[in-house]
Amino acid sequence: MKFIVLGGFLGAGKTSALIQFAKYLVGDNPEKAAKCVIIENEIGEIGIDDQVLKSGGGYDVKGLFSGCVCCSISGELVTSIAEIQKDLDPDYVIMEATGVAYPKNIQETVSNALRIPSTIVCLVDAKRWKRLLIPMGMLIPGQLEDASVILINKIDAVDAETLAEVDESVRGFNNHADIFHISANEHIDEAIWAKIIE
Amino acid sequence: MSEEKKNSMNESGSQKSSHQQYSKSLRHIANEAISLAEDIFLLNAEIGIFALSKIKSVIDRRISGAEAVGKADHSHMGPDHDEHDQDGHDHDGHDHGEHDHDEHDHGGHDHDEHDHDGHDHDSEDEHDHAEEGQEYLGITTHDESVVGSVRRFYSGTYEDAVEYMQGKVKAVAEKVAAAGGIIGHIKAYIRSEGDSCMLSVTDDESDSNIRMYPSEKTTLEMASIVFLITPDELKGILESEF
Repeated sequence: MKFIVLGGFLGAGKTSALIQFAKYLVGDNPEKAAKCVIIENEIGEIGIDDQVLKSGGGYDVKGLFSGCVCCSISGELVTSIAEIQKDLDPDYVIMEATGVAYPKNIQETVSNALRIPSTIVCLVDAKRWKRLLIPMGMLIPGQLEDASVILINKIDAVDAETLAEVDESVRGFNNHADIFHISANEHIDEAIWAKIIE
Repeated sequence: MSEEKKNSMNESGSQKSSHQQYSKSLRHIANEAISLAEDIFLLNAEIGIFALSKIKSVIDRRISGAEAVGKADHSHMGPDHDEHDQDGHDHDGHDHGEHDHDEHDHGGHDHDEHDHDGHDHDSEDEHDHAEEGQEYLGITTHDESVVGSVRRFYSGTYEDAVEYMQGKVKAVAEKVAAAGGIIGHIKAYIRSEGDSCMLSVTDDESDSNIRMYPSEKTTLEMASIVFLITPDELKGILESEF
């Protein structure tokens, strides 16, 4: 079972990207489809993204609400993953973190408690990056920590100069990740998904 | 000691614990903020000063938020909580009877004492108040973020509900910004029950009778995750719109 943590700040486009990622994993051929489970975590008491995800097909969605699995409800995450592994034995579990989560904490929790290695994919909002970096100066860079893949999203909403500045800034916080530019409202190159699961 | 007095004392202890946790949270935030300001100042004095002013604003707002929370029965600000009397039995006509906090079983597990890698969160997050099928408006906090959750039912067509909610999302965003807040994400989901119909027959010689029931009940749900405004401010904004 491959475990992928999808992180990034609020509104960065995690759910939009995830829908495409899940469709890629599930594929068009039901007989060859990979078994995929999405764990959707939201800090609010009412889940929105899980309802959006459930409108798609071919994968299971499990919601964890009213807390953040990187800290306050990490125990529920461990229990959920153990249950998913036992009951569904999927090929892939994608954990969509809350927009205030530190993906590295989730990675550590899953590794320490279940001995499951994971890959961190982090979304960056190119449009709001500069605006949010000062007020969210610890959270946003912290979310990039240990990410293997960084998807800089909303490139359609910024000019080339801004995108270059965002690239440089992101690289300053994580200089080992593979960085890709995407617009999650449009088709995302499948080579990116292939890179994540390789 | 009378049961009523015991209940009152238990609730008072719970409030104190919750308030202490909030104060602990504020101290933690202040320490992190100072550390951040120092780092930023070393990188760029001008940005450092800007950051300091913003950080001061955050701390001031959180302190006023803590005071507001300290005054409330619970830091979890659902509508039913505000109506509590001391013994926790007066829900003032609200249809949330099962949400009586006095009956919550914490099982001796003290959420207030948790330290989760620096994250501070409302200790009552784990109680599920936003039960499916009921209207709801509640506020929780998580670290710096203030989270508002709303569920309302809308009578009318689905198209009208979408238009209505578009207006509400925009209005909430504008009010949060006007209050000096930062919008993390405001998102809404609109779900129609869908049309339904009943088929019936009373003999085997005629076609079934069809009675259509077009859907006129739509569920509106919204989550607002914002920063730099107090829980009270967000609650006021949401109540003014819903």
